[in-house]
Amino acid sequence: MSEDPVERVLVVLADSGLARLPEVVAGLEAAGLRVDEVLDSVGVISGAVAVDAVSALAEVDGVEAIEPITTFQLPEPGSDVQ
Amino acid sequence: MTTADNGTTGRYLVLLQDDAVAAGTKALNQVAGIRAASTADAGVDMMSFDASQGVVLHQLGVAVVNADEEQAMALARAVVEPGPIALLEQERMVYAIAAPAPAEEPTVSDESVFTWGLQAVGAQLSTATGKGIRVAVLDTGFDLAHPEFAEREIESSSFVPGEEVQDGHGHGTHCIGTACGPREPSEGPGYGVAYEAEIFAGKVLSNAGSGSDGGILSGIAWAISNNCPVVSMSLGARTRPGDPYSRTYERVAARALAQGTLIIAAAGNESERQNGVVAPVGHPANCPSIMAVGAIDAQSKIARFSCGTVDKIGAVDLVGPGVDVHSSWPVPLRHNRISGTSMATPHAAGVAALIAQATGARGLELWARLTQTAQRLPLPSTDVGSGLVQAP
Repeated sequence: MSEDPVERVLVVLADSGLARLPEVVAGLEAAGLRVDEVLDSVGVISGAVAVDAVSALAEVDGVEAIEPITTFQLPEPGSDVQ
Repeated sequence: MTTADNGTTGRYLVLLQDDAVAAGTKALNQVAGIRAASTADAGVDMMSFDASQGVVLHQLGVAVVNADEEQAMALARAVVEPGPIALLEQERMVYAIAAPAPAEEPTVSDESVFTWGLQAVGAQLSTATGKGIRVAVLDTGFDLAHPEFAEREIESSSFVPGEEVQDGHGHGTHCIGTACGPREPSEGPGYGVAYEAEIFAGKVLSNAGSGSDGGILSGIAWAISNNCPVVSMSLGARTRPGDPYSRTYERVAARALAQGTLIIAAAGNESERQNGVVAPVGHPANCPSIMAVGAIDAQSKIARFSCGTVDKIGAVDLVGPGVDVHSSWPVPLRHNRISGTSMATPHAAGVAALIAQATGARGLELWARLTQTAQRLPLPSTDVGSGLVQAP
């Protein structure tokens, strides 16, 4: 799997999934998610997954949505508008 | 119906005490000899007025009555005595509302004592200081060696792999200065809104100014677990018209609100209004449960770069001062003057901290108080939402 293209994703849990977090995390790992971080206070798990396995994550019970990770970039420190 | 020259009708409105409509109707007769019909009786409405001396609108607890001078005096006396008659007012003529000419907003330009931004949000007039309120600023970190913050309580954490909290960019130090900086710095005008708030500096953007959702969400979780009522996020990514908002951030923000944490984020700087281009509110400020802040200048005009509401989603909720904003900057410079919705956002976050301290409001109640007390501006709501944030 390590040669396959991977996507970094956010997994947001439904309230029902948040109530049984360890079980859902195990389900996500079984579906191919390499977990970076579990943020239990907000019900979000970040991680990486093979591109062709993204849809399988969405099928895990208790998952509300899978979204790609966005990156942010500020202007240079010397810019007038930041 | 006679019409007086002073905009009144010659009739009177009599407010009755709560749950005293029947007693009040009787009192009108006893006190002033006015026999009023009540809409509680079949067939009585305001059209019945000509046939009687008054009409009691029983659902409102208000009577509209004809009264001569002597009767009006008698009613006025009844107001100050115990009984069912609570208030007497002259009935007024009302007209369809015509648009008034927009008033020219006063310009704030004297920065000898306080920045124009502090004055525009009325921070210098407020007795609130932010004391006891934790404000998390998720940005490029903070200059922990800045001399104007030497006495302050500062918690910090870095969510950028391989980088310390120390701000190698400047943006985070500027934002923290506006939200929580001093009122009497060693030089220049006072620039901090909530100058006694507890500072929680979360580094989620690198010294090169870049970051990603993972670090930002970790920062939000850190703020929640530290019971910060206010999270200020002067960051965002460009969106295109029609883009949906992030379901992840929306869920996160709603869960944060439920735990007493309000997330305030920059609307974005992608507009070019001088060219007629208004860009949509960026990610994640476009989420309904995240408060999106646009920028105005010292003349209360919308900043040319400030993103606007262009879709059914992604509303600008409020505006703050965001043009030529003087605040702290890492040493050796110490101060810098820059523009952006990034600068407007910590003004709103600082005001949120003042309101949180003054009222005890948290979460959605804090959101409501911010919008309720905002100063309305003669500008499109799609650009400024409820208007300019105001200190309590």
